[in-house]
Amino acid sequence: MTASLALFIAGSAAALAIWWTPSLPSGSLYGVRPHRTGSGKDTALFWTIPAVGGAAGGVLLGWTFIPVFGAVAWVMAASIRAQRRMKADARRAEAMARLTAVLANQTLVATNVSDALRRSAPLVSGPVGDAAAAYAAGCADNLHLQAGADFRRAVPGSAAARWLTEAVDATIGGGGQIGPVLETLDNRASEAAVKARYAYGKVGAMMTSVATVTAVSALVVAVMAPVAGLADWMTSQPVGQMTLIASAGAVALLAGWAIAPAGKLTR
Amino acid sequence: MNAWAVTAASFAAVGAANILRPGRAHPHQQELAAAGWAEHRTRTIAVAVTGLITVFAVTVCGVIFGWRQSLPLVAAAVVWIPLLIPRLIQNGVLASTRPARDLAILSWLQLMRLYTASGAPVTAAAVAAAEKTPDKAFYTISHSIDQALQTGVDPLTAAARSARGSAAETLLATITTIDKTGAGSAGLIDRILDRSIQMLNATATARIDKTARQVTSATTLISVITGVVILTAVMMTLPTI
Repeated sequence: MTASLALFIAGSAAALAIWWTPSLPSGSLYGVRPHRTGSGKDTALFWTIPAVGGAAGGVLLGWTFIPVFGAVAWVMAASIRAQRRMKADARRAEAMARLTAVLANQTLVATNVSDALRRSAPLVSGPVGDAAAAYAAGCADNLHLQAGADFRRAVPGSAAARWLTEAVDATIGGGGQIGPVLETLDNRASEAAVKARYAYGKVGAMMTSVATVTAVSALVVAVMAPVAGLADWMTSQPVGQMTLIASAGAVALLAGWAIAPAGKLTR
Repeated sequence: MNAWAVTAASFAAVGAANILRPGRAHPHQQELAAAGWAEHRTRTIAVAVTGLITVFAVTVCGVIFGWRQSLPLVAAAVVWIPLLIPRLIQNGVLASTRPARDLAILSWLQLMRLYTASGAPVTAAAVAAAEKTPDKAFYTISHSIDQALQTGVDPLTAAARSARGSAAETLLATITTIDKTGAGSAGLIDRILDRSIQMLNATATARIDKTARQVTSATTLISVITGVVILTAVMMTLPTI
């Protein structure tokens, strides 16, 4: 049990280190710019966490602890991933709202939408500003369709990015009115940013509570078992083993019930 | 053959008739089919679940109460479960797909509003926006728009009909009427579109609040489970007096 406690503490420390690290390479599992749809590599990396947790439980305490450790590791990994994704979504939505607000103001001086985009991009910092600058350059070279697709890829999962490319296509291709389009785009992007921020504040931030409560619960059981003389009942008695497995399953189900809808909120 | 067996056999016959009869189509059958729950699939699952529950009921009640006494229960299961299971499945599927459909409608309206702002007529904007909304949850509406275009019917009317149950349904129908009668200006249509978007955004906000409550409940229940595990372990390891 001491070994399992040490492993649990080490695992929790690693998870917390990943959690609080402010900048990881872009595209990494817990980086500030995760792939919205989840590439195969990310998915494999994500599922490695519960697999390693379960394997560690099996090696240290026997096969009955595979689902217990696996479930706890999965809940922690899934809740932290959901929190990071919602935070990244909210940041992207806010950056897009800033970009569209600047764009809407450029209609007084810009001659067309690609000119407005070229003037606005330097005023927005960060990845969205960089992507907008590349988009403006693409539009200037008459490659707005390709540049639009690149822009959507650079700002993944953002509805406002899609609307911007549609607005650019509509005004360049169809010769539409630039002023009302950019004003509407600004309104929609602001609404999306408010919604994403609200979703992160209400749900995304709470995901840390799910991870913390699960970690503390597992820690309480791991500490109480040897201290109160319950370790034998939990590790070798069938009723104890089944109780632990059932409770781990219930925790995973409850966490899944809370985490699953979170990913769809900021669409 | 005794009275029990006759009763059970007649109930079973009614149950079989319930399963096998064509039945009335669900009012949202097209929506259900788009979500992957065609009628034959629901019926197959209902038959399988009925079989499983019947076998379980026969085994459990037969062992506990005796085979003869369990027959009415089995008969009742055979009669009612085929009626209940499809409705439960259909209502569950609709409850889970409707939020996704509302989000897809919101996305469609937002694009449509963008196109109307660029000066496009509302019908052309609706069709163009539907083409750019590849969401699976939007399939029913995009299919109805497609069919309307092929048959020469107004696509907005068809879309409004397919958006039944959505918060934007009434406002969409209003836009259709205004556009058809020519009673409203472009500004009025834009205002109604904005109102539809606001309503759908309000629905999305309510969903965020609901998810937040789910997260709170989940964390509380996880703590309760931990307490129950510790308490059970302590109780089970207490020395017998």
